[in-house]
Formats: sequence, structure tokens, C-alpha cells
Amino acid sequence: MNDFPVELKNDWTLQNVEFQALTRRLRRGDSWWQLLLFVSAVVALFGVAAGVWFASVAIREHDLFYGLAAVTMLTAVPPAALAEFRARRSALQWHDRTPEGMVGHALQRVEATARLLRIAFVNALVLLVLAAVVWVFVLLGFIAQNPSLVFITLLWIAFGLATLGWVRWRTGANFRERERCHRLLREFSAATSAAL
Amino acid sequence: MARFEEIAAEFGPAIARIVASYERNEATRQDLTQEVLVAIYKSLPALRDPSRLRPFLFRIVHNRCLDHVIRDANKPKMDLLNDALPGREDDPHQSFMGRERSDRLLEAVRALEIPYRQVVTLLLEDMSYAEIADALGISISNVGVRVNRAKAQLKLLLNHHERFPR
Repeated sequence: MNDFPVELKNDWTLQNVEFQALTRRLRRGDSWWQLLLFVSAVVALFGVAAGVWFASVAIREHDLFYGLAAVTMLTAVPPAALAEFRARRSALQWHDRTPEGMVGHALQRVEATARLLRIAFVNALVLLVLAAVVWVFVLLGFIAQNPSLVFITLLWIAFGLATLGWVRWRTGANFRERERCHRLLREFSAATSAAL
Repeated sequence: MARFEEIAAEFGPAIARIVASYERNEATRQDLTQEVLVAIYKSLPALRDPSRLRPFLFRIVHNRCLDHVIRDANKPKMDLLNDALPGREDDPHQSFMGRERSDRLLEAVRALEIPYRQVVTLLLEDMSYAEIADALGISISNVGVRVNRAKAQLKLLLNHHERFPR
């Protein structure tokens, strides 16, 4: 088929694999991936539904606390869910790109992740600011203090801080991915230009 | 699905060898091989021309592995031990020397830059220049150039000049 040294081909094919075990794991892995996609869709729908419910309670009972919660849910969840869906969907076309195009696509994914991280950063700030605003309103007497308020706002603060931590860690990882993409593009470019 | 299982049975060892050229760690390699198979499984309906099966499959393998290399930039490097693929135990003629040569070749292939590693692994799987060009989306002349450069680098890495007839 080609003129590559036969001896090297023979050495290469001396390697063997336990392939049967891998095929057995295939269906389980595929099911897991589908489950993850389903769970992220359910979480997104739940977030939007919760936001709509908070809004309806806020309008019905003229409750500022529920109004703030509705604004938070409806501004935070849809952009994050859309960005995640786009990131997952873009990973399906393995046959349709050249390796160089694949790296270009990975670079687009890196930029999409950067957008997602910016959204997550803003969402975390919104949660922290919201927790502060709620307590300012409690102190001013616009929102009635109740035991659940402490729990809910502490949850927001914990989630906001955890998100900020994750954003910081993932931003570093995303930076390294971007660097790797640029290096690979340089290598592909050099290998292609050598033929011209 | 039956067609996929036939493909997996026929090309599985070749797929695993190519995956091994991208990943040293055995556990990670098994996961990556599984992800490659998932990618092939999902992509198979898009194969219009059955005569292009090999370039189609190996393009997916390399693309999925390339993606792994990019994402792997995030992870700390703790797997410096070389987990080579096991040898063929059913081959009574396989010698220790043969096994050692196989491992050295795999290490040398791993040391190549990815554009050259891709053409070498496909050549080693006995693909023609035209098939490699189809799989990688490059011209046949570019395949030739990459092969020549890869051979030169492999010569240095393997230090076995006599295995490369001029």
C-alpha cells in the first residue's frame, strides 16, 4: 500500500489490545453521555420554571424578595444553559473536519468557554449582590425577616463564591487550551507550507 | 449496530494503536479509545461512500485524539511512566527483542509533532498516500512531504538508519 519500511510496520502491529472490554463499555458510555445531556436540559428547564414561578409569586403577593429571585433566575439560567448546549452540540461532528479544522474548531470552543465563564462570573456577582441587596432591604424594612431568608441568602453566597472559584480555575485551564491550539496551528501550518 | 460491531472488531486494534500514539497512561488510553468508538458510532450514519470507510474512520480517530491532546493541556502531568500496549501473546514467534523494538517505535512516534505523527501512524496501518490525504484533508503531495520529514525525524529518534532504505 505504501513504501514505508515493512520492518517498522511489523513492529507497529506487534502491539495488541484488550478490545473486547472496550466494546462492552461502549453502550454504557453512550448512555451516560445522553443522560448528562438530559440532566443539563432538565436543570435548565427547572431553573427557568423556578424563575417564572418566583415572578408569579412576586406579582401576586407584591413580594420584593421573590421579584429579586425571579430576576436572578431568569437572567442567569437561560444564557448559561444556551452556552452549555452550544458547547455540547459542537462536539458531535468528528468526521466533518480536517485535523487542522479540528484545532480551529477547538479554538472556537475555547472562545465559547470564555464567554460562558464571563456569564458565570456575572451570575456569581449577581448572586452576591442580590444577597447583599436583600439584607439591605430587610434592614430598611421593605422585606420581612424570616428564618428561611438566612438559609437562602447563605446558599446564594456559597454558590456565588464557589462559582467565582470555579471561574478562576477554569479560566486558567482555558488559557492553556488556547495556547495549545495556537501551537498546534503553527505546527500544522509549518507542515502544510513545507509542501508549497 | 451490527455494522458498527463489525467495524470495531476489524479496526479495533488499529484504532487502539493510534490512540496509544497520543496517550501514554493506560487507564486514560482506554477511556480515550472508548470515546473514539462513541464518536465513530455517532458518525457512521454520515458515511455515504463505503469505499471511503478507512479514511473516514481514521479521520475520526485522529480528530478525537487531537481534541484529547488539546483538553489534556489542562491536566497535571503525573503519568510519566510509559504504559505501552501489551504484546500479542498469541504469537509464538514474538521475541523480547521484537517487543522492545515495538515499544521504541511507539515512543519515537509519540515524540513526533502531530502533523507528522498522523501520517506515520496511518502509513504504519498500511494506508495509501491517497487514503491518508483523504483522511487528513491534505494533498497527496503534502502527504509525501510530511512522510519524508517524518522519516528523517524517526531516523534520528530510533537511531536505526539501516531500517530506512534510501
